[in-house]
Amino acid sequence: MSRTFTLPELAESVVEGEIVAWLVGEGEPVALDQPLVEVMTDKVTVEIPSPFEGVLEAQLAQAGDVLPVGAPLARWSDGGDGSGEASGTGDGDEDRTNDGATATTDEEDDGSSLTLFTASGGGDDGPLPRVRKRPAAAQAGATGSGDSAPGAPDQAASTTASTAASTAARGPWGRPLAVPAARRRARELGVPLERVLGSGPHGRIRLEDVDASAPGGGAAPSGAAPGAAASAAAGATYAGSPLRAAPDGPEEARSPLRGLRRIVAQQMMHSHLSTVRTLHVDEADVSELVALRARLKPRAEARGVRLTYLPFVLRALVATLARHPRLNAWWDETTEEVVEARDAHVGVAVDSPRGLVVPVVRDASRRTLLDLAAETNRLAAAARDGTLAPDEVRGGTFSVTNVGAIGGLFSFPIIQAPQAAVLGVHAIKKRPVVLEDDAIVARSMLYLSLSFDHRLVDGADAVRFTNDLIRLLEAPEALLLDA
Amino acid sequence: MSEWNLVQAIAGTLDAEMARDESVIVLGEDVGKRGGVFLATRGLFDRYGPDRVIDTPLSEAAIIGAALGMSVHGLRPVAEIQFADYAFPGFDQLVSQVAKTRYRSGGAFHAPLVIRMPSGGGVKGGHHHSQNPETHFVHTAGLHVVYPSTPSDTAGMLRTAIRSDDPVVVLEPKRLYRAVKEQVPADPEHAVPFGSAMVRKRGDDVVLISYGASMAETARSAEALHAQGIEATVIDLRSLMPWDRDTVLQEVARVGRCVLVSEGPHTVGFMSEVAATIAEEILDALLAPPLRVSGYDTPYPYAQDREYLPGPRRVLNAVQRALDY
Amino acid sequence: MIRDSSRFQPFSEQPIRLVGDQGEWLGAFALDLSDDDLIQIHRDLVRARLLDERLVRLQRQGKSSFVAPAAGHEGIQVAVAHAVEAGRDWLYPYYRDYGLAAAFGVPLLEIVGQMLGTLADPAKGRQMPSHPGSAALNVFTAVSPIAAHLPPAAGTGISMKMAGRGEVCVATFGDGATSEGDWHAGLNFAGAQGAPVVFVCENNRYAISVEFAKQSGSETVADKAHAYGMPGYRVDGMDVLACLYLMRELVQRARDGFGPALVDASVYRYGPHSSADDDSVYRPKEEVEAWRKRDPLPRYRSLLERRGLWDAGAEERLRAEVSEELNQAVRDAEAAGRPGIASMFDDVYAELPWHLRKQRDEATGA
Repeated sequence: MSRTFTLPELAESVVEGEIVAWLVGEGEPVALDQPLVEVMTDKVTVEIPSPFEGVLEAQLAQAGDVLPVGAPLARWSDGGDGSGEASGTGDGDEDRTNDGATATTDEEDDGSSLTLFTASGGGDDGPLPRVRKRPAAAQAGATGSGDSAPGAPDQAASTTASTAASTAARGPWGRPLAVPAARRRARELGVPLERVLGSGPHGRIRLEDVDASAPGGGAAPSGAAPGAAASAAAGATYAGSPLRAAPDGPEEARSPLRGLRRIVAQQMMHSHLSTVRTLHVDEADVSELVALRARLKPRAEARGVRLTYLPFVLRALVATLARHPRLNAWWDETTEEVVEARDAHVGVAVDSPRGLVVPVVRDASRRTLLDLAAETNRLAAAARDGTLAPDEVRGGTFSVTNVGAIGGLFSFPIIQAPQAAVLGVHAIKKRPVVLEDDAIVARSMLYLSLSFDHRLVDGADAVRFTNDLIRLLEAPEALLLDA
Repeated sequence: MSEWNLVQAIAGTLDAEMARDESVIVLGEDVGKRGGVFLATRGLFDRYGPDRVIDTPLSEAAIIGAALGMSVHGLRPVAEIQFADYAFPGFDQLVSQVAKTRYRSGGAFHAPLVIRMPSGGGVKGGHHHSQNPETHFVHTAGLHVVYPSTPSDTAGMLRTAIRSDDPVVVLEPKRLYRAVKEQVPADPEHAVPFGSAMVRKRGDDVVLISYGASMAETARSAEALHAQGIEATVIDLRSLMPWDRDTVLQEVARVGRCVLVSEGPHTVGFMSEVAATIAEEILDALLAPPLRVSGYDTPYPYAQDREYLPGPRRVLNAVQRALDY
Repeated sequence: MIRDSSRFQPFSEQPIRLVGDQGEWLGAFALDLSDDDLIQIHRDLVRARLLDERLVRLQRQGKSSFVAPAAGHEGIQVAVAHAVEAGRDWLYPYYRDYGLAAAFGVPLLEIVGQMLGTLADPAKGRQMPSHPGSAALNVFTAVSPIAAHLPPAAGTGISMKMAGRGEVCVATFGDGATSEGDWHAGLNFAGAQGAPVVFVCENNRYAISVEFAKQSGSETVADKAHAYGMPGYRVDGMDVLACLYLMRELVQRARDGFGPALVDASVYRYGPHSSADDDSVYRPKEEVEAWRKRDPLPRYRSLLERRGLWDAGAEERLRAEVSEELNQAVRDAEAAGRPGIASMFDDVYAELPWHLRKQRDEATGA
């Protein structure tokens, strides 16, 4: 029978060869290993010894022709009756170029340079699998349609989903199964994943499932077509910041408010469990401070700054902290060390509409009174507007809370762990005071409650600290020395 | 413009750069009279003589080390390592000497040299003529590593490498040396900057990312997907150190699914870095995990030369998994 | 390529010596160095020795992490520095060569700064101690991997030959280096190209603890030169004048286009291999004592004294002067301060790529 001999790859990286001369004529007998044809490639010129024995029926290329590796070169006959294997050098190389040829079909190419590679070989690419996007029905949520096309959720998963009512499938870690983008979408829309029915394999929640479960949902946002929704939604383009600000949600406790509440709760619990919280309360006669503030207030206002008592307290505080570094410190639990801070960054608790926020007045000891006033006003406003930057709520070394201004005598404030202490500053009220000469007079009095971690700070130290602080508050002109 | 295949693009660029700048010289085994075993330096010996086209002893340590000694003395040597697999006898020179020259001298010395290495499989070379060692070099601080896939990019990146003041490893996809031809700009200033990927096709269903020789299989995968109505974005990284993080993250964030194709071994391959970065930076944008399609964690085999390489079948299976996820 | 030198024979039975144990001149030719040159050589020998002693002390005081003592190597080191031309020729030293660097003109402040890893080090504290280098003086920064600087030295030599300006490269190394593949690669390439490189083995006969007989089947290091088509010379490496005359001849020979040469300079290291080594485990005390008697410093000093160029007073003044110079260098090197964290990310590349910028910002909290 007739067989075909194809051009072998004659050297590494060679993809074609030029026929220089035939050394056997058509119709001539040829012996095994007899020089058959001379071929020149980019790298070498060689005589190809015949891999067959028989008669050369046809030369399939002429001298001067350039053939790709794997192209038919000669047809020969072994004189047999045609039951043999057809063709080839037997090394399977022929599909190398065939693959290239089949891939060079794309006339609708978008003008990219992809076609460049169609002639190249390599790779295990026998019959290619059929690839499908998920059918449209599966995109809107699990329906168990029975469509068993590849890509649809498998039967078991669909059944689970439809019988499990409002419970999402859970992965081995107990959390609902969901793709990362769906988790983000659920956070943004305030949709608990536990209530979303997943349409993916094993009931995995996909982006469109979250959209369908959103309040007023069932449709992808902004009327986009389902397919487009998936890709666009995955999106938010990469711009360095992975999360956008959460949009306002419904009144249920699923809005970002809940997130802050949760964080506050976690922090409070952590503080409660991880500190040895001890309370020391004292009072200061701030009558002179009241007078001083009254004198300075209009001047501050003339410079556009509202002057409360807080800046005075902060000034007195940082001066006192400088003398008691142990209170401007924190407990490093990983290394079991007490770390004393070099600068005082003082957190100031703010009662914002979103909950407790503690923005930090950085480098408080380097600020003037006016500067402290401006900065605390700014931070409080930002806290109430929810526009604080992450860095503005981190890195505090000591905290102050003036929640007592709303009412009450004194409090037992919670420490901003891992800080050493927090100072509660309470309402200034006129109270009767007994003087040295037993005279009873009305003075402006201020309760201070120092809540400290007894692991870092001894009781006597806490009292000395408070005494020093009170001394400054009672003679506030000292505050001005380096204001 | 000249219609060049990849080796012609290399020889042509070396020629142009040697004509432009006397300090550019070529050295390596057989690069002189023979013009290199792949003929990537063909014609240079006749044109520039034995001083500037140096046939070296058969010693990669000598080639890489001498290139360093030349570069600190004012030359811009372009060394050829005959096969990337033979970089290892010179590995210490590359890792301990070349890569750290600028750093350990506090910037007083620097090594403007290029090391070209034909790389990758599919040429029936077995494990000592087929490896993809790019990860070793990427892991060595101080080296630039590029792995282009087209004649035009190879010309442009080789030119950037020759003009760079830092050492550059240029891995060349030898399987594609003669398999791809295209018009290469004749512009003697045609240079491709490092750290910039090329988006070769845009689609909304999946992002295919690759570089070097695997770009061929990746491109064919994208075409097979196109024929089935699935549109892939195809990114050719081209440069591995530095690599173009922003393009990758933008496209993957936009599409949400990606398949990463490279032919070196799977574990701690370069695509592991790409996948980890995607997970670190844009996890929330993902509709499916980043999926790697790579060579296997075996030495490169001779008999299974083609089966070892990631081809369209494996790429399409991964795409299906990403779409189904 | 082998060209017999006019004064010295390669592959001699005995190492070349020009100065006897009592400082007597043994040469068959006249000692023709000027008095100033002779005194300068002595100054450099003493400076190298005192520098070495100071660096060992700094390490013991915990101010540096490591030192590779060089006492005993000063003869060949000072000779190399005096045989090459600063600003023109190149040196490829190894880690024991700070005495060479100092004699060649690298400021003590830079050498001590490198040992301490402060900003007085032009290399910004990037390498462990005992790795001298100077771009200003063409002294290529030393590396730790043994013999790894020899293929680059060959490359610099080939580049010099191409440039045709008569420059010469001198590379130094210990006897253990001769076993490394890179040693062979470097000498082989230099030999094949006839590159102007003089390879100098500071042969102290121990690679840490392994004696030369276990290092090589070759009788001498010089013998190995046969294989690379270059002459090999044995010289008493503790006879600074023998080393200097030989080196000058070989440097000139290379300058004149006659190619590379190998010098096998026998020395002894009086200290341990490094500050982390205990040499008493592998070297008998008697051996160390015997070599002490051949110390290059007293031997050379007697030559000067015989010629009336030196006396005890001059020696005392010199030592006081060098000590004060070292005190100042240590003070200044310490005062220069440590490099900041951010500088860790400089000089990896000519420009900072994005990933290093990101890592630097993380490290510095920027």
